[in-house]
Amino acid sequence: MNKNTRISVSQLVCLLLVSRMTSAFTASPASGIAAGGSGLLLSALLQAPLLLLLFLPTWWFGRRTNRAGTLDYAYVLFGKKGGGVLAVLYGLLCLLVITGDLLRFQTFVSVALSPDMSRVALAALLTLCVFFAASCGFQAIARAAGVAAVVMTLLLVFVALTLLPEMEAIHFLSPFYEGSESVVRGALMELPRCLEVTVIGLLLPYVNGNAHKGYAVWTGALSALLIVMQATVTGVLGDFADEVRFPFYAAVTAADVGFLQRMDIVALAVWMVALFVKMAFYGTLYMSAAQRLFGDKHKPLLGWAGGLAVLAVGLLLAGPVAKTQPEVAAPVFVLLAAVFAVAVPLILIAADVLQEKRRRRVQA
Amino acid sequence: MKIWVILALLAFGMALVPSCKEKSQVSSRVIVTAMGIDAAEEGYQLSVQSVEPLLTSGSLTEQQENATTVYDAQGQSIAQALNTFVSSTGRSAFIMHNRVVAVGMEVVEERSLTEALDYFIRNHEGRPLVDVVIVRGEAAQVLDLKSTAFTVPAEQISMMLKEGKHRGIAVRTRLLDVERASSGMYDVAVPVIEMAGEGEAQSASVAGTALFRQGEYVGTVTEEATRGLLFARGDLETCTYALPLSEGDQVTVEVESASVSIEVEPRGETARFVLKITARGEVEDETLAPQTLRDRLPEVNEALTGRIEEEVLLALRETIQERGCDVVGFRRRLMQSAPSLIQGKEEEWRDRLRTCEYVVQVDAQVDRFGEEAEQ
Repeated sequence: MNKNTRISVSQLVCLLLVSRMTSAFTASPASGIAAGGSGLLLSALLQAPLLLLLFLPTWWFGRRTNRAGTLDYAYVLFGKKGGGVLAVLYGLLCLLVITGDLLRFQTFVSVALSPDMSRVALAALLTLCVFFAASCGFQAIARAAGVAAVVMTLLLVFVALTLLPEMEAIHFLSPFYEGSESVVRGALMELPRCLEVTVIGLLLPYVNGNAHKGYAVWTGALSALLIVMQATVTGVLGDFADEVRFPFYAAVTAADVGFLQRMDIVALAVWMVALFVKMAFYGTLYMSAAQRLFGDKHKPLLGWAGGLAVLAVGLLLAGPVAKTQPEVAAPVFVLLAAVFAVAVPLILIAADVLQEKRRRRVQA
Repeated sequence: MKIWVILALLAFGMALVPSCKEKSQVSSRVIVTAMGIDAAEEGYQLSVQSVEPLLTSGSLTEQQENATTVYDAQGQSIAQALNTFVSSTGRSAFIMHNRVVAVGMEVVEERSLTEALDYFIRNHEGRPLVDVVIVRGEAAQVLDLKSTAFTVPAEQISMMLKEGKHRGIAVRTRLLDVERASSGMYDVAVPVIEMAGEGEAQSASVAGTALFRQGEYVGTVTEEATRGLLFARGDLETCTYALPLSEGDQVTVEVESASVSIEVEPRGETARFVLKITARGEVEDETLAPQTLRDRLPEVNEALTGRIEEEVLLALRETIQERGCDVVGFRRRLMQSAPSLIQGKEEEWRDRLRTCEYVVQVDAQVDRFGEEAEQ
């Protein structure tokens, strides 16, 4: 990314929010957790402090380096080779997230929508659009995320209000019905869906204003929206939410609003826009890491390479992934969060401390 | 360059828009408005009531007569029966506009309700708010109903159920309720419809409520028990009672609003459920002199209280106590109010509910027409 490319704190919040809520829309239930979804309401609340905790290493790194980006600083500390390794890792991480979303898109299309559609054509078109948008720059995507976040929030609230007549108080149990450990387990199962925490270190230098504050606002807003979403699902479906692949979508299909009738079409349209913005956001980060590695002149080639890789893997894995539960992938995402949100900033801080000591010793 | 890429993407996207590619689908589809499921020798007999889009001129509201046709198909499952329908008619069924799923009594007597409706539960095209009814006799008869008021007969059934619930004579069960019940939270009660007369004089009416225990049909209850059930679930909107008074007098009272709160009191290994029902009503016809009626309002209140109490107790006896059918959701309320009592024994409590104590306390207040109840 160009150093002059800057986004506001509110745009950062919107980007992160759109990115995370896209996953929430098609999230499958964490089976058997937390009393038919009531516990997940508390789990969503618990996610905010856990996300803040996970952000601590990056916050410390940002404070120490006066908000340098993790990748930029790795180049400063470890030179071209060390920085290059991290750039490769970040590039792969972003491609993995985009591939995951492409898989999610294909699964959703084949399971919940019309299976007659050409999955391959849709996946190819989406990937093409995503990498084209990624080449348009970070600011453009951040602006689009602003619109998407507002529309998404309004839609969530609107859907929740229109579904009020279908909600039953009897569906809500005590969040601790299955014990407090189920609430914690629910939060821990949901946490890997917040992969935004793995790339926040990259964004620090490109935010005008206090990015740390923006992250904190995001965690709060995210918890609030997830609670609204979970309350809607639990109120409408109750324990049945555990038995459907896409509970929020299933709940939305029960909304019947006057002349608009079914709301699922509107929700789908908004989700598609949000998914596109999220994938383009990670596409930009991939391009930025790849450019850092190979230089600016190969930009179009890098975009095509990334797009083709995502499409190939996405199409190849679409069949097997559709048959498995998403929880299978949870350990992988936990590992990613541990590496990119915790290990990378801490290693950079440790290396910085050592270098500073060495510098002082030399000076002395 | 970017403009050309955008234009190319738009052109490619346009090619995928259904209206350009699939205009022939209108004639190759039947728009399903109701489906009937009956038992066949092997599997199911499926009846499909559908609108013929190419035979209707203008909107449905402009139609003079019945705008639907009923098709039949057989199969070992609903999905297979639909396939048979497609292969025999050469057209596919578009079920997004389906209003009613009618299930023949014979089907639910032989199989579970969830099994019979599984296709609709899994199919994302259908609406979860579609009405589900049990038909005494054959479901196909309901779909063939001659309707003078509606061009789509399914609308008449749907309206009948809506009004039936509003007037306190029918429960209204949607596919969503069956889905929820399939998760084991509570049991489902489905309205029963029966047909009378033949040809032009044919009519359909609500004939009680079919009860299911874990999806299995366990029996049907009367209109009185249905009303009691509506009171117990807090679903009653309005209902009318002709109440006999002393000295051979009678008043007609319309209950205009009702609410219920259920308290759970643990009693050792069992529990006591106290249903506190509040009902407000108005005297509809005044055969008594106004002053006399005003003086006798306490007697009217007492008569209404007694009637509601009687019907709710009847509903509880016929559902939970005799059939172990938890259509009110007592087990769920126990999980809410006394979790320690039920935790880990959720399945055991299905039967234990039969032996629990149920107390009904009714607070009914009636006004004269146009007057507010005394507080």
